Amino acid sequence: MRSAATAFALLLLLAATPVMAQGRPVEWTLWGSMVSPQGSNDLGDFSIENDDGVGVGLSANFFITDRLSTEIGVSWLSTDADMSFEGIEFEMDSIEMIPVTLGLQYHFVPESRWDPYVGAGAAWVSASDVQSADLDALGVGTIDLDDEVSWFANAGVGYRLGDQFGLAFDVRYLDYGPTSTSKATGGTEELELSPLVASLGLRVRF
Amino acid sequence: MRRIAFALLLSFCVVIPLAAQTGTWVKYPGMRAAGQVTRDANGIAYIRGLTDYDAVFLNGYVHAEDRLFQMDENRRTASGTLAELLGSAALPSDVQLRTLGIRRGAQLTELESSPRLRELMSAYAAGVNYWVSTHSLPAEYAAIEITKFQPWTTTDSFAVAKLLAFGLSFELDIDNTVAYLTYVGAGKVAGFDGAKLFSEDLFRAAPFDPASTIPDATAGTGKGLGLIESTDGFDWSASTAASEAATFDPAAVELAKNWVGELRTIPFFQQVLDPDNRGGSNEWAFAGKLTATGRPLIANDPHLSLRMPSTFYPLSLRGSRLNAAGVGFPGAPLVVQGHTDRVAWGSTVHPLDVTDVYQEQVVPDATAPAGLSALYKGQKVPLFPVLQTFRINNPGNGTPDDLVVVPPSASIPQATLLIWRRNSPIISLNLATGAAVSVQWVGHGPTRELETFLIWNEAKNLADFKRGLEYFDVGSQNFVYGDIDGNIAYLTGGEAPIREDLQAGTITGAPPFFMRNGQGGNDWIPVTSRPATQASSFQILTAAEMPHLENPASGWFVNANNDPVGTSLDNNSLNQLRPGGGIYYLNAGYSGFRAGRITQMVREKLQANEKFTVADIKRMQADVTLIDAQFFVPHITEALGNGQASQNPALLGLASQPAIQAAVGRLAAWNFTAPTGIAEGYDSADVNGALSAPSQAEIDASVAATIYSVWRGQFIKNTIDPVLSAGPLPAPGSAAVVTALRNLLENYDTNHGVGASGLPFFNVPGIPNTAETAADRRDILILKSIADAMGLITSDAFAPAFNKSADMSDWRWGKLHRIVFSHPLGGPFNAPTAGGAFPAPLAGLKGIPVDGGFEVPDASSHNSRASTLDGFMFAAGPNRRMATELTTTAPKAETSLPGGISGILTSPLYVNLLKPYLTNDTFPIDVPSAPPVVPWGVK
Repeated sequence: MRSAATAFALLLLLAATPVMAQGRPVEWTLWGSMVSPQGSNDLGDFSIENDDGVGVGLSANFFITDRLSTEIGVSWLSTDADMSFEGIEFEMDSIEMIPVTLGLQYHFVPESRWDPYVGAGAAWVSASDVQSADLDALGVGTIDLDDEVSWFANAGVGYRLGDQFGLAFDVRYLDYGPTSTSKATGGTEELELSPLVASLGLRVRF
Repeated sequence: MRRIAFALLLSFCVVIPLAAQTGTWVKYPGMRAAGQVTRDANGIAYIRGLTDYDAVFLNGYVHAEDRLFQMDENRRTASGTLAELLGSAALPSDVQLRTLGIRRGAQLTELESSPRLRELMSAYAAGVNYWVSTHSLPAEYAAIEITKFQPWTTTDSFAVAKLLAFGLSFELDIDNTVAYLTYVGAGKVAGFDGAKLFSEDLFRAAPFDPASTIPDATAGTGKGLGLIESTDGFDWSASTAASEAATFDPAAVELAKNWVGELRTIPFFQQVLDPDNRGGSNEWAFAGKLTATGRPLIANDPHLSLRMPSTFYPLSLRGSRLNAAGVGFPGAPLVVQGHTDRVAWGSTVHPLDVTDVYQEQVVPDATAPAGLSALYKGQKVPLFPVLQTFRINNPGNGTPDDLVVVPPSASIPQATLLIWRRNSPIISLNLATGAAVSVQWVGHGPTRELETFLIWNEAKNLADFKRGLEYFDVGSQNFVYGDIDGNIAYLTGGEAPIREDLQAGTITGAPPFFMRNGQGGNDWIPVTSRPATQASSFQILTAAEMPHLENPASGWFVNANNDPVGTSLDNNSLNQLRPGGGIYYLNAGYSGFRAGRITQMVREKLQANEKFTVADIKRMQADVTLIDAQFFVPHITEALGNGQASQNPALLGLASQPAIQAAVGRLAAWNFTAPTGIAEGYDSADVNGALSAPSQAEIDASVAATIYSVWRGQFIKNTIDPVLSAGPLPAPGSAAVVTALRNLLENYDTNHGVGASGLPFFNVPGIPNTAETAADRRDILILKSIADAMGLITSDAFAPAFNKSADMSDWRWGKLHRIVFSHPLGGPFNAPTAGGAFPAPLAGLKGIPVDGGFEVPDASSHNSRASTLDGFMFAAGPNRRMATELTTTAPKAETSLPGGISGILTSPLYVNLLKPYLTNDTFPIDVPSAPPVVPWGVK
């Protein structure tokens, strides 16, 4: 319920942002990402190891002032995970996350060719079910990962190639530690999947 | 011998793999998650699996690692393919077991098994086959020139389980029938009552000792179940069976008799069929109010043949739900006797009558699949053929794996014929006359004992245990139960069929412990609406009617294959009624020796107001007191006293002999125990297999045990047996004849040695059979038997034991009471010598000297008629001795094993537990600690 309310508030903010930014430029960026989950998952005698993954995303940056903008983004991030026990590995297959983010960015050098910035904000993360033959064999079956509202922080730099186009490099940390539930047993585990996402983007400015 | 030597050499060359023993978690191909095998100091496998599937996979793996040949032997025995392993000598076994259809029943059982059980059976088979695929076959295979192992299947495990149930519950009524008909026939000619010779004199239903499991039943009859004594009494020997004698088809009886004769040539059936050789067991329980710790105690020592390797395999097993430690059978997964983290159980055989033999008439019938039909109520009922192909291995010709098909012949049938109406096979058929015999056994159909053990391997409380018991369909067991909640219980398992005639309150034809005519009127009643918990397709006694006892007010119970509720104590097992009507029938009769002695020990301690401990349980399990000696020795001493004051010259002459006086004097001073009395002998007084010199008291008891045990056989030889051999008439078995003698002596003052049949059993040449001479004749025969016994002991035949010594102190019991733990391949595989690991202790004498004797609680019985050097050897006994205290936190169990963990001759585990077993010492066995909980598993 709390999650739904927060998501609703986020949607309201998303809707309001373009209005607040009326008359100022909007930058759309298409991202390609490398994903590196952070944190450890020691579940008793078991541990989950997440491999680096990939992702794609789309964001819109609405400038409220010369130095301040609001970024709205959505991405698809995928990592593979293995669970290990006493040196024995069990494949968990891929964990797919879809974070929707809303944040504020501070731009250090307004209207220059190079646009370094930092930012932070709220995120709503949804993840797909996790399923694999090994999980079935363990009796765990399909694992449901809870959607979660959390936060992110990022830093990056943009580079204008002209009036309209540019490139961007962004690194962000997305906090995501969902409650996971086995659909077979009902058992739950708290996971730590927070990804560090390094992205290269193609930017279009309107 | 050369093949065995080669096999031994090979086995020394083969590295015996002990892969999964270090506690390393493994995930072998075929496992689902991971598992771990840790061996304790005794080599017992403690298995933990992340899932139950993995735990059972490793159960199969360690069984294969330690007992592959035994498993193969078990499944092939069950399947009737043993000759494909051992060669043509096993063909008779194959023919009979295929006819009886153990594997057919196993296949039906598998079809009706739960998905979970089938899945775990698959895990077990996968574990066995994985081990085989990664290791060399054990040495036994080299000895029989087999290089390829037929992959293990789930049906193999069901077949092994079915074979065990068969061995524990199958019985035949043929010997009874032959004896009864012979007696009746001879009685008509010779003028005695043949029916009473059977029922009153020699094949008595009443046991040697009246100890009953439900204590109240000791004094009454069926009171423990609320059964009603029939008001008119049902005297079957007078009312129906005598007339039935005339209706038996002599041709069918002859067929049956010959068939049983064939069975008795087969080692497997020798154990199954003869009451004196078949498995027995002891179990008892004390509630916390009777124990020193205030916690319940349960005890169990199941008696089966003592062989190499041991019948049981100790195991501790834990998965996500499975949670049990105890023993199982190589070839099938799970623990069948043992404990979980909350409950413990054991079992003894409950001799339930779950088999009937029918005389049939077979006629040609061109419309029937086999061209034959059986007549049933005048109608033709087709017989169905099950085609058979028999193969034999040819060990010894130097060609490996050369299986050869054996063509059908007079002794090798082309097909087994089945009567579907009873799901039973024709076991013998004379095509010329059409005379035939069929046998119906509860286990021929689908049964679910393995479901029982699956439930029990996870049981948390009495409710779980009783739920599992509902699935125990065949195998006829008494169960002793205890839990950490403080409960004790006695429960019986096995479906007891209800016969048409008994339910109608009468007997149609002969009673159910004789052959029955196959013409209806005494069939098992078909069930119209089968409850979900019932496997059989016929009506059975309800759970409420089966003997049971939960938390008895007395705080204890004992069962040792004895009469559970006292239905046979009045020597008539058919004069009780079911609460709702119909004759209540469990079995024709029971053994009472061991239960009598154990009950005696319990009562002694209760009377002394002492509390029971685990040490008491072990002492009682180690007891080697001859309960029959308690009865007969006073008669011997009295005979000597009578003789010394007698006017009868023959009696006086015997009583005046110093040797007889000395022998009787030793018996009079005897405490009726039977230690070996020799330094090489294994006694319970020794500790952990380390032998010590016998005390003087042990030596004295040992000598008395020798004199008495040889006397027993001579007394039978001088009383009952010569009367029967004059017929010749069939003789009762080893235990029955001792019970018969007790009955005759107990009533001697009134019957003067003459049975209810009218036959005199105490005959002395030259002395007339009159009431006046009865006491002298009895005493003469008693003392003559002492003289005869001493004559045997000092004879050439016994010289290897006693060197013809006249010095009685040389007559140590351990020289006679010995055991060889036999292996199917014999030779060095036997213990002794176990390939040199257990040298023969006595030069010139077979076997290992061990304390014990006829029907003692520490089962080690020999034939009561024994009269040869090796006749006092024994071959069956406790296959484990379990003592468990149900503490507040967990069952604390101790056990033992007659042999070793491994069946591999060169393994250090081949006989690693044998010596402590022989001295009645035990070792702890625990449930493994819980395996790590898989994430997202239910914690």
